[in-house]
Amino acid sequence: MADKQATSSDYLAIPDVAEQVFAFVEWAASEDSLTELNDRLDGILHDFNIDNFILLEAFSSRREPRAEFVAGVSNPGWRAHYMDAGLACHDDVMRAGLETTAPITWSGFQSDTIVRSGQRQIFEEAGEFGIRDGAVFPLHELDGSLSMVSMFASDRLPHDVKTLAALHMLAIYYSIAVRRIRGSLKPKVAKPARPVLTARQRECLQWVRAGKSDWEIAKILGLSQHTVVEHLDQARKRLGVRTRTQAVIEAIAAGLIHL
Amino acid sequence: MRVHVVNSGNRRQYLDLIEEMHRQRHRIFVDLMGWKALESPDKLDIDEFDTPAATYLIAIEDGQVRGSLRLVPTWRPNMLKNLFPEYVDGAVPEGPGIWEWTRHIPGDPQWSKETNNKVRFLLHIAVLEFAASRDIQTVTGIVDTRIVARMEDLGWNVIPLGLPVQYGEGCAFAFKAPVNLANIEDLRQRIGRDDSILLEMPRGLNAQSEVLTRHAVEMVMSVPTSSLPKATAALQGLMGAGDQ
Repeated sequence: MADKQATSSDYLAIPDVAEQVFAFVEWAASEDSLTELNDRLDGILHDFNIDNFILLEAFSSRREPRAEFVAGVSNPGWRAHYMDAGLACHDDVMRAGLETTAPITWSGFQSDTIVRSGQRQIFEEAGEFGIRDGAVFPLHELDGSLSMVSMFASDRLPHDVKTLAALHMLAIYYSIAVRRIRGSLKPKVAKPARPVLTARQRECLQWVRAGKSDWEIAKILGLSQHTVVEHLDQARKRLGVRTRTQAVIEAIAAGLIHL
Repeated sequence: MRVHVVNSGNRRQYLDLIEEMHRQRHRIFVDLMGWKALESPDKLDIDEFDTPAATYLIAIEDGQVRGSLRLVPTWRPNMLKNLFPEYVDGAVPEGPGIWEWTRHIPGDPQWSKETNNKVRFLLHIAVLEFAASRDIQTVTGIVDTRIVARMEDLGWNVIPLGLPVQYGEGCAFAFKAPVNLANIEDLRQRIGRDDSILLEMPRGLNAQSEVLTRHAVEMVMSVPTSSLPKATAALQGLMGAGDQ
C-alpha cells in the first residue's frame, strides 16, 4: 500500500490533500451550521473537479433501495431526473456499495465490471447534466442499512489511492457532522423520562387548575379559544391521559405546574 | 456485569477467562469477520502485543467473557508504532498518558441485542474509568471506517492520524481520541447505571508465589501459541503447588 502511494506520480492534484482533510475534520467537529458545512466541503471538493455531493440513505436495513436525500449540494436537474425515473432501483453502482466499504468510482466501476446496458444509460443520462464521473462512499450502519456520500464530477476524478482515501475521509466526517447537526446522533445524555410540555401548554393547564373555562383562558392569555383547546389537547396527549382533570393531576405530580 | 482489569499483576486469577478471551477473539475476528491473517490452528487469537505490558478490560457476566479489549502503553511496543506506522501521517503518538486500544470485542452475535448493547456501553465506560485510574489523556488505535460514527455517538472525538487504508476485509484509519472523563456520567446514564463499571482485583498473593507467577506468566507468553492450553494447565498446576 505504501509503495503504491509513493510510486504513483501524478496523483497529487492538490499538494496537501491530507492536511486539508484533517483541517476539515477538526473544523467540522464543532460546526453547527449545515450551510457552512456544505459551503466548506464544496470549496474543498471543487479542487477535485467535484461540483456536487450528497449524503443519502441508500438502502434500508432490509436492503431495499431508498435513495433518500439527507443533505448536500445536489445537481438539481440530475437529482430530479434520478428520482422521477426511479433510477435508484437500477443503479448498480449504488448497489455495489452494499458489498464493500471501499470507495467506488464510476470509471473504476466501468473498467472493473461488465456494465449492463441499463447502467450505461444511467451514466449517459448523467452526462447530459454535465456529470462525467462520480464516486460513492458507502457508509455501513450497524443496523444493516447503508448510507452513502455520492460525489459528482464534471471531468474525470483523480483515481490514485491517496486522493480517494482523502475523499473517503471527507465523506465519513461530513456524514458525522450532518447527523450531529440534524440531531440524529443520539443525544449524549438520555432525556428525562418525564413528559415535557411547552410553556403555553403548562400555562393553559395552570388556568384549568384554577377553574377557568376555555373562553376565559383564551381571554387571559390573548389567544383564540381554538388555540387554547389545541394546547390542552396536546398536553393531554403528551401526558398520556384522557381527560383534562387527569392532565392537571399528572402535570402537578410531575412538577410541571404548581398546585 | 462488570468489566475487570486484567494485567500481569493479577492474571493468575483469570487464567481460564483469559484463554476464553483469546478464543472469543479468534471466533469473532477470524470466523465471523474473516480476518484470515489471524487464523490459528488452536483457535486462539494471540499476537506479539499480548505481552505482560498489555492490560485487558474484560466484561464478565455469570463467569463468562462477554467482551474485551486490550490497552498497551505507547512507550512499549504497540501496533501503530511497530506494525503499521504507515497508517500514520507523521509521528506515531507516544508517551506517558497515551495508550493504544486494540482487539476490541464488543459482544457476540449469538447473544441477545440487550446483552450486546450493555457490553458495548460498559466497555467504553470501562476504558474511561481505567483512563481515570492511570491518568491516561489520549487513546490511539486503528478504527474501521464503519465504526467511526458509532464511536462519535458514544461520545469520542475521533481524530484521524492518517487517511483511510484498504485492508483485506474493510477500510480503516489510525486515530487518536482525547479522554473526556465527563463522558463517563453520560454513558452511565444512557445505559442506566450509576455505579462504577470497572473492577480491579488485587493480586492477593504472597511474595513467594508472586515470583513464581511472574516466571510462569513469562513462560506462557513465550511458548508457541499452539501449546498455550497445555502451558496454561501446567501453570495452573504450578500455582496450586505454589500457594499451598
